[in-house]
Amino acid sequence: MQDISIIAEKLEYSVPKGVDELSILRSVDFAACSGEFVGIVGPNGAGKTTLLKAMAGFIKVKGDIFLNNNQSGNQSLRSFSLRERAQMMCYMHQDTVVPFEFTVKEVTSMGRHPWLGSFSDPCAADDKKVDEALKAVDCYELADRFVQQLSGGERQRVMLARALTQDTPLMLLDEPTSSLDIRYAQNVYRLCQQEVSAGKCVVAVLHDLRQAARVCTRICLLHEGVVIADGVPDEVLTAKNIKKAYGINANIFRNPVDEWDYYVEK
Amino acid sequence: MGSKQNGRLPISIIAIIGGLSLIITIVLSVQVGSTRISIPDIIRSILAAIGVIPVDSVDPSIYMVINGVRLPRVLCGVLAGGGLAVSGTIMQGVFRNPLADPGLLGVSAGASFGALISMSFGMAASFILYLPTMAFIGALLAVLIIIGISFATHGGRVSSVSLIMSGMAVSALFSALTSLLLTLVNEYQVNNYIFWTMGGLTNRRWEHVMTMLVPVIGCTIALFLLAGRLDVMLLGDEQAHALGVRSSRNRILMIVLASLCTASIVSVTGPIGFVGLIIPHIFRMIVGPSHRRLCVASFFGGGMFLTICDTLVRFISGFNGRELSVGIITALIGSPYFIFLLIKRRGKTFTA
Repeated sequence: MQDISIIAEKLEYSVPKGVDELSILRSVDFAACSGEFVGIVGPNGAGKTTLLKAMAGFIKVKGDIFLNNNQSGNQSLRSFSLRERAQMMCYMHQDTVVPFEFTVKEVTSMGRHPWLGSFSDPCAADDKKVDEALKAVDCYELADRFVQQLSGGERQRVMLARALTQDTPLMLLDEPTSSLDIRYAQNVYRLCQQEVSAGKCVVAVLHDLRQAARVCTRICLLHEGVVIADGVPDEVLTAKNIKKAYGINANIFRNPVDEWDYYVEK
Repeated sequence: MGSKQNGRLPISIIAIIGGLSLIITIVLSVQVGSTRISIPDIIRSILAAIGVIPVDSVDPSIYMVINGVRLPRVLCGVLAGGGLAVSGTIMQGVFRNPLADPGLLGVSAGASFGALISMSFGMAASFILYLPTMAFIGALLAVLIIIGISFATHGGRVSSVSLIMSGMAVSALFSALTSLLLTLVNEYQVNNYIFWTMGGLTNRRWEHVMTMLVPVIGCTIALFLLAGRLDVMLLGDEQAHALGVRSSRNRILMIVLASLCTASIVSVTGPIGFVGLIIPHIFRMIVGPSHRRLCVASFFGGGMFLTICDTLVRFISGFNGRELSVGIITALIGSPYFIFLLIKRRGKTFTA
């Protein structure tokens, strides 16, 4: 797997709100590289998804974003073509609705699009990657079902399979486990960890602080468009930072099984 | 490409089955008419007409009937049906809406206005392609205005909603202009116009085939090549972007091609309803929603469907001497079949 790093510097983004502007991101610095599983956490409306979308290049933000795939050196995101970007990073939405009766396999194989010639169809090697991805998310037996007929959680796993099929060194995932039960959520976290140890870089917006603390190599805590802490989970997820970001009094302790844990004071 | 995909028919098989069925349909359709001509004579005449064998090897009277009357009419039907079905397929995909039809972007309203102008100034009779040219200009004008409005309101990023809204507004505008003009012209011209709006292939000649040939075939091939991107675009603009496809740009390109194709058809045949709306649905149920396969299937299917309908029109007119409009037959045959498909698939989800 190709090494990659992404660096975002002084990102600013705002949307109009009446006569004023509402700042979503305020001078956000962020970086991630191969071998890292970075969790972006923070309260609702903190700008987590916006940060992810900015790095994917969907929205125009002030500031600089650089990609480095170890052949190019640090290069601005905009200097890569859309296709080159799609070969370096994938993006998984919170929820994707697909109109018409596409099968799970058809939707998953759309992940191969950046690797196909403009006018060619997927070949046997592409099919193999599709099958592997579907097996990885426990959806292989759903392959011939229509995506419209799946449950929310099944659809979310299929969308993760589509992202895996894209086979990129950088994966941007927006709440990949939001509709999953605890078993599948565990599977997805484990899958991300495997991808990371295989040399990928995974950046995921997460809500479950316990899980984030257990699986991520690094955590970035956002609050009102500002990064209030960025580092290893133990350093970021302190009672003080949680109070600052979420406004709740949390007691941090170490449980004997999973280490980092917390409970909220009444 | 030739391999089995998700238990669905590969493109090559669809193209072969579709192509062969279309050729058989053309030959059988050409046979229908007041003069009885044998199938081998028809095949020889068709081959002579397209320049494969020398013209003097065919009986001249048979060649006159086939080449002068029946074949151009049938080919007009094939091109119109195929082109409308492909345009409809693309429009439904781009707008993610099963109710979208090729005339969504004011093409029909614009073409009707152009056609009425050419009729009301009495110039339509002077030159055979005068009416199609005016209708084509009207259709293009409507499309350009709609896309222009859409660009202006969204600062370069064209959304589906703004296109539909401006499409509705511009269609209404052109319809009003048409109605206004209709109140000013005489009754004979009104009748002419109403007959034209029902759509038909009566008396269409090689000139008509040639005006449609390049736009219809060109747009169909281009849309087929772009169709893979349309599948990705259905995942949403951002997801498409992450897969290397610029939705905004491709959406405009596809809409322009589909509208160009439709405009060239409508200006020759008049607005033929139903084909562009229903044929894509029927073939989506048969070959699946993936747009490359669907484009191929819709082209052949639409071409065959309109040819069969027009053959019925000619068959019926053989009894009572008065020609029905082909639009009547498309709806009369197509609707029950479509309802049958809907009922057969009861319990399964249907499109968007």
